[in-house]
Formats: sequence, structure tokens, C-alpha cells
Amino acid sequence: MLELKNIVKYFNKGTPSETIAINHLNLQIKPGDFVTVIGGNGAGKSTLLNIIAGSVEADSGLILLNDVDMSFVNEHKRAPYFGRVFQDPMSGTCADMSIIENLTIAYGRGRPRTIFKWFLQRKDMDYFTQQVKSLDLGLENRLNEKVGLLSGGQRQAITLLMATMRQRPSEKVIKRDYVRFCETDKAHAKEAVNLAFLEAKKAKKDSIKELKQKGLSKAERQVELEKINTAYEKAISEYDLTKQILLLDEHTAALDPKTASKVLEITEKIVDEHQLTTIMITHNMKDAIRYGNRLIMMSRGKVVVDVSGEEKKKLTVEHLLNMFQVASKDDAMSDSAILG
Amino acid sequence: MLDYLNTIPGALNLAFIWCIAGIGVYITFKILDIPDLTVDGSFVTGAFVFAVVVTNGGHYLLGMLLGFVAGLLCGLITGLLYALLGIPPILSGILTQLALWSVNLIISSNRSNISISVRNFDVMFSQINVYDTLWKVALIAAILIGVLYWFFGTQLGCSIRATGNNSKMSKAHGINTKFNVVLALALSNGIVALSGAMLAQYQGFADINMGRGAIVICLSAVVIGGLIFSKFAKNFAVRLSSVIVGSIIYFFIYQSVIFFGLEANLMKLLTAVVVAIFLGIPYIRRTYIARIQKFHDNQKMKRGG
Repeated sequence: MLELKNIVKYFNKGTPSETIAINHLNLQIKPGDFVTVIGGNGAGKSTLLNIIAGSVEADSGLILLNDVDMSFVNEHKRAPYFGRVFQDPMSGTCADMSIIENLTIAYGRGRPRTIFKWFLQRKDMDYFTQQVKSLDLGLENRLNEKVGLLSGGQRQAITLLMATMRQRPSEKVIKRDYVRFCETDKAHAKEAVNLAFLEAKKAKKDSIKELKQKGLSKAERQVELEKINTAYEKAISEYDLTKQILLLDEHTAALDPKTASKVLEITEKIVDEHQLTTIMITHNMKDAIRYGNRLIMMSRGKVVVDVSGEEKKKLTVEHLLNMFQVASKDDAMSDSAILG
Repeated sequence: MLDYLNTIPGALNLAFIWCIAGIGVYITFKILDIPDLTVDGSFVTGAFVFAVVVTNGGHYLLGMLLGFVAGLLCGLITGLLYALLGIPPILSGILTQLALWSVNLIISSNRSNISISVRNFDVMFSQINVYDTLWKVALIAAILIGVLYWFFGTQLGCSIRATGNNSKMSKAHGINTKFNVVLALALSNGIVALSGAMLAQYQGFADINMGRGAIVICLSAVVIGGLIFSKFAKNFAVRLSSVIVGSIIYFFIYQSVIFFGLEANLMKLLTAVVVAIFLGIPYIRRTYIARIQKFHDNQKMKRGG
């Protein structure tokens, strides 16, 4: 669960142009929620996402992820928990690197990057191809092309893929987070996870030993080895609590209507598939109503409307605009003009 | 004519020695996208450390190694100024470069010039034996390219490439961009200092002024090479090798104009002009030449062609 408590963020604090971007904001997001965020320009939507992801530091307030305070954790260390897609299609990918290289960078999220391993691993290629194929954009034939040559929509689709795919984090991180996110008996949790990992490792070692004695053919051995590895991965992954939260910052704003709807379709598909907790900022009221199970409206750095479940399903665009005007009387005129 | 041909091995030697510094600059200028001005100082640091080690009876390999390490430290300082104090990288480089002037004089015990004569000291190569030098410096350059090709093919190396390409995206994917910038700056300056050590060894002395404009010479190698290879260089090793080609071209121009009687004092002016031209070519192509083309096309259209 992601919880924001009393977040305050000023821009240009202490100068005549001081503005408050986030004003004592409180928000709770449950696992599996798909939250759409709407609000006028300057309402603090993007700042909110930046604060969650760590690229902007809040002046005060707590960011709790499974009850652990993340507000002093650096952006790159928060990366295993958050996948991001930006408004600008150029921001989410490395233009000078190929699709494969970009995917490989994303795939290494939450893992140490050392000089002891080659960057491109042949064993991952099939998986990447299959993932890119699932986008249904015909990009699987252009995997070695530079991302800079792709269109904005294609780049956003790739970025979405990058934001959502990753391997399990390293064992060290899994262990640490299992203990960190454990609510009650931390010492006990530490013991349990250490024991489980030891057992998994021992099981793997034993089965490999057994395999060697069996005297199978090379192909058969390969299959068996893969099985052992899968079992090991499964045992380890059970302790992986670093469930991802997807942060989408108006990721379709720079795209034409057709491409935008295509990218949204892909978004929905990926979110459903991985059961991701998602926060999506949008300027399109229809999209805000159509997608997700919860809708929040922001104004002047505060959540002014928060509807979910059945209530959200009944919303209409007009209804929403009315709510917006009621919620923010002073700047409603200009904002509704922008949002209309 | 024969006289001119005789200058070629010397020019090649200088080209290979400077291309190593060029490769160092390639890391910051091309991969990190930061023009790092520490180079002017760290080049001399490498040379002086080498000179001090060798004149005190140390082995030349030890001298080159310590020169490299000294360069690493120079880059580390620039990097830390950027990462810990938030000073923009270009300014951090200028600060370190300024500080290194004094540090270099401390290293050399206030001598502005240290002579490493071949007659008195055992060195790897020198100006006196140009042909013997040639294969040695070429080999060092080749080894360096091999090592860097390996390094930038590893996970860490590629995360440095991503950092230079798009730091926002890199951070979002868990790459410690600050660490990577510091690492790359250190590595780059280490390589530059190695080149400085090699030049001191080759010409037989280290001088406090030998680094002045080093960044421009390195940039000329990087830019000329990059321009020539821009069309067909996809492989990273090839792109690194383009620095060698750029360096060779630069030193051919250099040696030629010296040979045909240009005053040596004008060389810095010439270097700056050459670099300005090569840096400007892509822009000239994009705008002016494209416009002339467009003008002609439009004229044709108006005439109904």
C-alpha cells in the first residue's frame, strides 16, 4: 500500500514568486487500485507523481510504502517499486540506444549493474521479442534499430513495456525488503527468509548433483536444469514483496487521438495482465472516467474529489465538470476552459 | 619531399599518443555529453607524476600506472564537485583545472620543467627512436580500445552510456547517475593522464604548460574522427577507433603546416580554427547547405520544373 501523509511542496520558497505545488496532501492507494488523476494546469498532479517517484523531494511529509518511509530514499533506489512513463515520449527511452538495449536497461531494474556481466544477454532475447510482439506494433522486426527512429506513439509503447517489465530483484534486495515490509516480527521474518533461501539453494544444489549422476543426454539435461531453475526462482519469488506501482504522467498527451487510444489500450492490457497498482494523470475526462476504479481530482495541490467503485462508474463528463467547478470556485473558469 | 616523408613517423607517434587522451575525452564528451575541462590539468598531472617517478629511479611502467591513478583522482575531484556540491560539470572541470596548476607544481617540487633524458633514464620509448616508438604507442592505443570496448559492453558500462543519453530515464530505471558520472569522469581523466605520461616520455620532458589547450586537441581528434565515421560507424569499437583516425588527420595537418613554414606560435590559433570548422560542419550542412538546396529546388518549382 502506498500512503502519502501531509505532503507539502513549495516551489521557489522564500522568494516573491513562491507558489505552493502540494498543499498538505493526504492520499492512500491500495494494492491493485487503478487511480486516474485529473486537474487543471498547476494543480500539482505531475509534482505529486515526481514526489512519489523521488525525482522531486517534498518539503515535508511522509511517503509510506507498505508502512516503510521512503521519503529519504533516492530516486534510483526507489526505481524497483515504481515504473514510470512520462508525458514527453523522448524522456522515457534512450534515443541513441536500440530497442533491445533500452529493454535490457529496464530489465535490470533493482539489480546491481556490475562489470562482471555482459550487458546484452542472449538468453533474454526471446523474452524481449515476445514482449515487443505483444504490443502488436510490428516492432519485433526492428529490435536493433535505434529508439530515436521510432515515432512518439511507438516510443511511448516501448516505454510502457520498459516501465512494467523486470526480473525479480536480486536476492539481497528481496531479503531486505521482506524484512523491511514485514509489519510485525522483523527478527522472525529475517530468520524465516534466510532459512527459506538457504533451503532453496540447497534444494537446487542437491537436484543438480542428482542430475549429474543420472547420466542423461545433453538435451535432456538442459530441460531438467531449466526445471530446477524455475523451481528455485519460484521459491525465491515467493518472498518478493517489491510489487510495482505504475506512474503514468499524461503519457498520451503528446500523441494523436488514434495513437493515444492505442497506447491506452496497451496500458490497460499490461495493467490487467500484471495486476499493477497504477496512478494515471490525464487531461481527457472521458479517459479518466473510462479507465480505472478510482478517480481523484486535484486543485491547488489538494485532492478535492475522490470517487471510486460504483460511484465512479456512474460519472459522466458533464457531472465531472460540475464537480470540478464546485470544488475549485476561484479558478474554475480558466480550468474548465482548458479541460473542456 | 624526402624531408617531408621523414616527418611522418613523428607525426604518427604524436597522433597515437594524443589519440589516447582523445579517447579519454570521448568518454566525457560523447558518452556522458559533458565537455570536461579538467583535461588541461590532468594531462600535465600525468606527465609530472611520471617524470617524478622515473627521475627518482622508478620503473617507467610504475610511472605510467601512477600517472593514470593521479588522473583518476583529478577526475574524481571534478566528479565529486558535481555530485556532492551540485556545481555544473563544466564549472567543476574549470575549478579542478585551475587547482591542478598548483598541485602540479607541488608534485614537481616547484619546477616548471622536468627533463627525462633517454641517456640517463630507462624509458619505454622516446623521440630518438621514432620507428620503435610507433608500434609501441599503437599497441597501447589498441589495448586501450579493447579494454574500453569490454567495459562499455558490461552492465555497468552500458548504464554509463544510458546516463549520458537520458539521465531522467536512467534514474527511473534504478541507475545511480551521479555515481556513473563520477566514475566516467575519473576514468576519462585517468586515460588523459596516461596520455600525458606517454607524451612526457616521448618528448623527454614534462612541462607545466604542456596541457594548455589539450582539451581542444583531444576534441579535434574526437570531432574529426566522428565526422568521418558518422555515416557508417555503428559498432562501439569502430567509433572509438575513429578517434585514432581523427588524431592522425589532425597531426598530419599540424606537421604539414609546421613543415611548410608556419610559425609554431600560431599553432594554437590554427587548432582552434580547425576544431571550430569541424564542430560547425554538421550545423552548416543542416542549415546553410540545406537552404541553398531548397532555394534551387524552389526556383525550379517556380519555373514550373
